[in-house]
Amino acid sequence: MKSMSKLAVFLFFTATSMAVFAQDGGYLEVNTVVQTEEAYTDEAGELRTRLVAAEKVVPGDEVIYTVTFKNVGDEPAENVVITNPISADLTYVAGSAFGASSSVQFSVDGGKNFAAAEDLTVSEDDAARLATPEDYTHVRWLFSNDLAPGAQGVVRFRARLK
Amino acid sequence: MKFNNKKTLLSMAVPLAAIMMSQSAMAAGTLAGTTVDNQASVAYSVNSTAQTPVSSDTATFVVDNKVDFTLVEDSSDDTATLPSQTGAITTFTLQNDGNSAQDFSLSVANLVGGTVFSDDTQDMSNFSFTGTNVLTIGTDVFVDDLGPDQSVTISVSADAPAVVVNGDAANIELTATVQHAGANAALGGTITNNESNTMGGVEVVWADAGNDGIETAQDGYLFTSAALVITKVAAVVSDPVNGMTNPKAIPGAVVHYTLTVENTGGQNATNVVISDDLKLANGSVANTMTLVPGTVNVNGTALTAGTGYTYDGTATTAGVLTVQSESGVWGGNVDATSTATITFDVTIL
Repeated sequence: MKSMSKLAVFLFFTATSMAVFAQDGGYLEVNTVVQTEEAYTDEAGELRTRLVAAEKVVPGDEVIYTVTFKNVGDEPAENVVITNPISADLTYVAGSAFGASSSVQFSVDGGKNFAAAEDLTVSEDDAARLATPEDYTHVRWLFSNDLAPGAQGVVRFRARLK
Repeated sequence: MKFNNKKTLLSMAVPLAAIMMSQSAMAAGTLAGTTVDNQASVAYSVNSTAQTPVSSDTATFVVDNKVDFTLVEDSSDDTATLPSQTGAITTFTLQNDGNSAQDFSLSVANLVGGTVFSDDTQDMSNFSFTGTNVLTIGTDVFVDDLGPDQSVTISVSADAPAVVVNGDAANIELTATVQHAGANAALGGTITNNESNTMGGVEVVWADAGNDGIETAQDGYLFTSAALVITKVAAVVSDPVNGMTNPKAIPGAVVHYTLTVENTGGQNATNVVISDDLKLANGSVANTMTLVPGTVNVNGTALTAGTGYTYDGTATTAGVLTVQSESGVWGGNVDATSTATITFDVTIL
């Protein structure tokens, strides 16, 4: 029941985005949702977790951002890059960025420059140090493969509320 | 054009982020009610030509109210208190570890037993509270609008009972119950844990010990009073047969008594009066001994009959010897950890 209503919401957003798309004449549509993980016990008595709308979030809690994107045009999309800002109230959870066939990069300067986590440094007291998740302002995914017409993808990351 | 707008937004985001960072560096975390937005964008090319980046809708959540606080007694020691002392103070610290300003209603109660002192035998009375933003309005006593990461020292004032024994204790318990911050200088509404969950609303999440919005702390008042211990030693001085050589306790013998009054308590004893009933010295025999007049001394100084001491017996009948203060001789005081020594002689009848 709940998953059905969620699906309905998703479809609604899709429809809205498509309408906007047609106006812009673009090829891709993109959607972002924020959720939290909730523990529950299934019919078999097993303790499981599921994603629910981020209704109750207090400092220390993790939220999960899921970005879905789809090529609604009739040409392949090349060099697809998904960029997500990380709110100043949030800290990226190390290692949580997920995206098939993509490389993940981060920014510590508000999205001006990006690099892989192991190559990203910040200067502190006139010395460079490796950036930590607390420093990240943006995360992005670079896709090596083209996104064919009608194809879709998903990326996801976790962040903890400060 | 649209792309340029986005770049401007990005460069603006940096100083904004810096400001937000200093705010969220607090231990209590992001303030309740803060809206956290996120908007993904996708850049791509078609036929090797960069297209206008596309933004998603904004994913938003609102930070909820994390209720987290501690209440501790400031000193792990007991609070030394005198009999009849008024306004005996003990202090507690209330710390708001949550992410929202809250009011905290306060109440205090005498404990029966308790964990501070196991020998809780007394109760305090006439409680009152002081502290920064600790308000008493009508019957409401509360800490008003304690912000995130703020703490307040709460002083609890209480009156001690008049009659206590040295070492008696009174345990009290202070209870702080979280409430909504409400209006300034007014106690806010009750917080319940079953408020509805909504994306845009600010819900309450218990994070305090016990997850109940209530914390308690205890303190003990330990009473120091005087504690007098009296000991009595007898020595036969002479008898009519042997004189002072190996005297025996036979009729006509003189016996020297030494009464030692020791104050083992923490406070000076005043108006000390010592009574010794010589009639009881030998059980059922009524007239066993009588006082030798003029032999009553305190700390080596003679007391005056009828002033420093009284004796209601006669030369041939036993009576009660009462020793009390005498101007210029003995003030009737036994200070803490001191002793008074009273000596007197009796004749065995």
